[in-house]
Amino acid sequence: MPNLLKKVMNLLIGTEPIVTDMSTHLPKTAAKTQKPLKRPFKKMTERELIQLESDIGAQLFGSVPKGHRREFFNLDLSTWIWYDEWIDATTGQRMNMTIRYEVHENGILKVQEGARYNFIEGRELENFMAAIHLYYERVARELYNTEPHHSHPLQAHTV
Amino acid sequence: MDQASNIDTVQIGYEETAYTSEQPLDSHTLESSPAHAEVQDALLLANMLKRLREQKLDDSTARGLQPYA
Repeated sequence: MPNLLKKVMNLLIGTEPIVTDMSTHLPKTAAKTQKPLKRPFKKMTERELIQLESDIGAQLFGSVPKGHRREFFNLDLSTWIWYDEWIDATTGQRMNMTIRYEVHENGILKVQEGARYNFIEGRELENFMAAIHLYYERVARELYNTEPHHSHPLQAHTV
Repeated sequence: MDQASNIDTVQIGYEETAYTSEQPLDSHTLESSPAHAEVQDALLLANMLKRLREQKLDDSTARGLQPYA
């Protein structure tokens, strides 16, 4: 489990050295559109791919409110991560919430901070399954440029 | 915290698309589990995502290029 925690924190916070704001060195058009710089000789890492997937995953639940940061991604074969970060309006403190969804043989276990955990069911399970289907479909098309294959569709996920 | 954004409450539109045969992982075959289908489905999706990542990383390594920029 420590390895899993380390991997999640690495994805959420990052461990790469902080660099100075490069936007001042970019052409005005590039800085304005905030398009990523092309790095033609740099190989991608799994972490970068997951981050790109998470950028798509964060959009699955509607627009992210201003001041919020959201991540939703598949970490490994049995783990999905939901992360939300926001500023508390009353205290001004930065808040965050991480939910880990673990795929077990007997169900999807939702693990929250404070040792809260339960197997999700009903509408929540339907929503989770719909979310990961949509996640797979969108990242397959938008990130990996391929048509998604589909597992056996569940009745509960059809609209 | 925007409660409406929580996965517990959010409504997600999902359009079903074509089915193609993919074998579930052999190690997860509990017929009696109430969430058996969901578990199989989730494992399969994660497995397909893993393959996509591996393929992308392999392509990236082979070409020495960043494939998504």
